[in-house]
Amino acid sequence: MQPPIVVIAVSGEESDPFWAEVRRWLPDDATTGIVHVIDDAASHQMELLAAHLPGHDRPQRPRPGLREAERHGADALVDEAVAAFGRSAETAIIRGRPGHEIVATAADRAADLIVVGARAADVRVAAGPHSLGHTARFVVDHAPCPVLLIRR
Amino acid sequence: MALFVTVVALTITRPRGLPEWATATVGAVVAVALGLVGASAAANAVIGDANVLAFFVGMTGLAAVAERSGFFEQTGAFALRAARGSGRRLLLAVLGLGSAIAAILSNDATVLILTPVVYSLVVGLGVDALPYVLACTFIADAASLLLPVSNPVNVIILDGVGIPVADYLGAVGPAAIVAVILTIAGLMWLFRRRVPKRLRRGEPTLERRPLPPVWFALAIVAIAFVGGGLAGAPLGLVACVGFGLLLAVEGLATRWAQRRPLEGVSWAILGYVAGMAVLVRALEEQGVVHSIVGAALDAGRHSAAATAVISATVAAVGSNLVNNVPMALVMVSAIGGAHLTEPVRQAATFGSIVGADLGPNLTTVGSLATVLWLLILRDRGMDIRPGDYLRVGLLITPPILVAATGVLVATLAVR
Repeated sequence: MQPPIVVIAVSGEESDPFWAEVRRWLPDDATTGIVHVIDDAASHQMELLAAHLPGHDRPQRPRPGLREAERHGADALVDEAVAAFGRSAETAIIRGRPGHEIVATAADRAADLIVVGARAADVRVAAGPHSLGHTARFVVDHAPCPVLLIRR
Repeated sequence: MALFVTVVALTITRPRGLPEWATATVGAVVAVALGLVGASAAANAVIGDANVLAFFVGMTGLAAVAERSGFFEQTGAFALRAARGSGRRLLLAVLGLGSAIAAILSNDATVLILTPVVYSLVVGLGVDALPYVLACTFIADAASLLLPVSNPVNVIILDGVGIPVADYLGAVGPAAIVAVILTIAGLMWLFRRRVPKRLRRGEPTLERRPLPPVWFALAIVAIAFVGGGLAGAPLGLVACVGFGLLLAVEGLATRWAQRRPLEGVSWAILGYVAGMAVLVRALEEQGVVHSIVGAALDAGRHSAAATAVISATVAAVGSNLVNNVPMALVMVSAIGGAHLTEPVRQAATFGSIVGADLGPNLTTVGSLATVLWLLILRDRGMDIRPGDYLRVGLLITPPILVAATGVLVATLAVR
């Protein structure tokens, strides 16, 4: 049997116990990709606000720093994730809606498994709907393959 | 009326990127040409708003110089240090910082300049930026009640009705503080799970050369805004003098290296405000203002409390329909045209300010019409998501508007 293809979606909030669980469930020979999605909702919001404050025709001033800061933060986050995972993994950084992009990546790579984080056990939430963030919930709903949920 | 609606619709939807100032100016010229408003009345409307126009120039200029001096980046970096590795403390620090900057440099500067700075800071840490960006925009409008200079709308209304700044602070101050505290509490609660508990360590990269002398001058301007306002100086004048002072200090500190010192001043807004002022005057002469807003004011004219509630409601709803600058002009015209006793007139003025400042937060993009437009764009397959802004706005704004209006009514009653 072929070794499984696994996509691990990371947000930057993954703890060491999360990675210990990942290593426990993933076979050593799995082909693993670590994916981080830069959520573009916030930059969208800013562009809209700037464009619609009454009376401001100020052209959207290019802020070269913004994209670089996004990239810089995402790079650091993914590097940390690879180090914490402790095995070899491909990495990818994508801009867009996190849930959509994670599912699309898994479909593109014909993944056999998606790993996503559920809310950390120490974030006090009642058992039930709030233990999954909206990204994880979207992935569970739309995934083309099995999904492994692990507390962050 | 049809003309006003057309102009407002065009300024909101901006077909083919048609600038707002052009629409408003052409609308004003058409109004005069059709005889809807006399040429001299139109000229008076513009001259009467000279203080407001000067305020816009001074304020946008001040914010631009402050930005060039690295002020926003430094305060953002300060917020990051104050957070000491906690996502929640960072959110609190951003809210505190946003309140202070909105109070001194106006809500527009907070939205247009501080928000992108906070964004690059937060994404640089690899953190979901949406809570922080929404925090900046919501606190900008709530804190814009704090001082008369915190929102151009405050200047439009105070100046138009002719109420001194000293009265403003005593009447609106408590409501403003309540609005700010509630907004901070509401956003902290709403995003309590969405912000990370721990932040990655990281030093922000600063792009601009810091110019501490400009920050010092900015502090002087902030004091002058309060002092000058209390002394009865026109706020437009204070803003322009402050802008001049900042330019001079910047020039000395950089040895006049700034090639385009006036860059960042929003000249376009002059055409927009002046054009709108003429159009509202035309509405007034046609009796439209009185028949709609004036009638609402008349209904409560015997009670200051009822008037404050009515005008806050009308201004808040109107701001969501037509943006708050034209709505503020309409309220001024209605208050001027109604026969009100002094306490009731004050109640109407302050109520209008509360409504026009806080109301736009309902949708955060300033008007429901904008949101409808976004929905249409989305139908055409453009990737636009009004969801987050609407959800937060609808949750947070109505209770805060009600609480602030309640505090205003109580304050007016005990004065």
